[in-house]
Amino acid sequence: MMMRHILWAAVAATALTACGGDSSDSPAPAPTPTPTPSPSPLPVSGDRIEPLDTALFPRSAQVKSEQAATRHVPAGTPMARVQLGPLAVVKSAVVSQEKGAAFKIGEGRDVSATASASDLAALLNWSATADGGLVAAVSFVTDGAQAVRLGVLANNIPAGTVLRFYGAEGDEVVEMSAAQLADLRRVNEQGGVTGDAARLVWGPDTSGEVSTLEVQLPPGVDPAALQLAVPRLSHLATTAEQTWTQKSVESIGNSASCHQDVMCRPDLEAESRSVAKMLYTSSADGRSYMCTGTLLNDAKGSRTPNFVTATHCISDQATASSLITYWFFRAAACNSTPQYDPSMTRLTGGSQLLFANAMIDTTLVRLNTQPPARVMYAGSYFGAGVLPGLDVTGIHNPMGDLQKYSLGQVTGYAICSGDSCNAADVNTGLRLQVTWQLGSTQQGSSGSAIFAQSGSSRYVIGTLWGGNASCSGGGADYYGRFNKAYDAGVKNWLQ
Amino acid sequence: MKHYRFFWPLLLGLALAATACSSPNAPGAGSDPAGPTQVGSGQPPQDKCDAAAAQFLVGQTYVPAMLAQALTAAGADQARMLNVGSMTTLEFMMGRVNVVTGKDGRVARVHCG
Repeated sequence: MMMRHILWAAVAATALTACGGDSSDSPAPAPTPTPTPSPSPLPVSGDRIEPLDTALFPRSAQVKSEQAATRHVPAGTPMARVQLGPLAVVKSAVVSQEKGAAFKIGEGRDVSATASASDLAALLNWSATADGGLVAAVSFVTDGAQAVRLGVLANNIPAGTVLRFYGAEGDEVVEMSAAQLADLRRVNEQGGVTGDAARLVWGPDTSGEVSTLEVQLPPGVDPAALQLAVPRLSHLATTAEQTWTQKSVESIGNSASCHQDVMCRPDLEAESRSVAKMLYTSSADGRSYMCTGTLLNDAKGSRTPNFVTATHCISDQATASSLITYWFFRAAACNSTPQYDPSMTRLTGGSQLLFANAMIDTTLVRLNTQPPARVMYAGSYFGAGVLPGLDVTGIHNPMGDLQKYSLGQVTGYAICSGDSCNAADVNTGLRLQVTWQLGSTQQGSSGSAIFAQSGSSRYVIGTLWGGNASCSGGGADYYGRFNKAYDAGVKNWLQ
Repeated sequence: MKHYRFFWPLLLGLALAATACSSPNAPGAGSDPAGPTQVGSGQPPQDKCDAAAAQFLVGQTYVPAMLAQALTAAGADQARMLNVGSMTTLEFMMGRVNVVTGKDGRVARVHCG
């Protein structure tokens, strides 16, 4: 059995003795064994945050706050329809049919009929709601689209207002509140986006060639106070869901043969539920990538969806906004690939960038959508007790495949710049060097966490940058040290 | 272009300690001094990569022109050359085909990511 119960204190003492460590570089006191995590929020115990497993909650409390949104415009209410007709020119870059595969994506279309707030206001036919408010909707038709995404310019959205987006009958209804819109605007402005670009919000993909925007005002709000326009929409040849889901399923079974199915290790089941496969589009090059990330608990056990990954995966707000995560992307049972866990859940909505540090290669984002029921918010260790010899477990999605695990040891510290790393000591090293005894990593594993065990719990201690480890054996990987990231700013979001 | 170097001469004074203790070794040492090279399609991203169609390169002595061959065969957005054992970040780029060369200078593997 490679996985050993770790007594960090003993490891630290052994390593220091062997290496002649003195008091000047002695680590902080090593963590002591802790009891099995309970479902109640746990405070910081000095140098770590305990995991929070929502699977241990009563079923009704497993999801923080999710209720299916519904349409509110009364049936039969006259609704304006903005007709854009078919796309005049299908650019070669929009749809590729090479080898019979249709990949993507979309073409932006200007919508002159609703380009300004006064244009849109003229099309809204308000109806009273049961609570005394008002609701109205307008539909947009772009012939031949498989899906539509509306670009909404939110110049002034009164408090309590709700926007709803939906497509064909039976399509999911997605809501955005005035508060969420304000948050997005704030995030954009903090990210350096200004003017209309900061106030332009792209709604979700809605299926079919007709997309409807519904606006509900709270009681007492004059519709004239609403300053909302739809100056642009995206005509999608293939929905993002179709494209990404297809790619995700295609990835199953693609990883190298040395990787170990996480479902063959029942003792890793809980940590497995904190790990998500990531898909995102880089704002730097417009290309699509896969990485791995881990949901982190905070000191209050608030179930805020803080999610840690690598900075070379996500380093700016525009990229963070494109994030899609796949939860429980793992085999249905031990070595059942390609059959995957029926609980697999795709989460859209993007994320807010909270922290990014390229030197440590650690990024923290907050997901804009609450993760599914039964996820675990992983514990984290931010003390200085991670020393060479410590056993670690990695959980990741190599090549976008179903979750795998790797077992190895911390073998040193490093400082890395660009793609070069140099050995460092425990105080100056920003990365952990890890070598594997079982399994390895591959493209797609970037950003994944390594866990170290203390007592019966495991804690995130690093996030993967890369290295030269492979299934052929030898080599090493380098992980951003979580304690360094914590001290550099992550603590501001987890305390 | 990625360039991996470890400045072990600078760490000579620490060599004994590094041997006695567990400290980073030199991954990437021996990799191509020129580092990986890459070519792009010059087209908007299609996020496609069919590595199976570029497997004919495996076993051949690597020459830079193979990147363009791999790019075309795989229908990818970008082709990248990596040396076996070279250090690299581990994000998976959907439209990228990687041509991995062995120590003997031959193409050892072609894969997406």
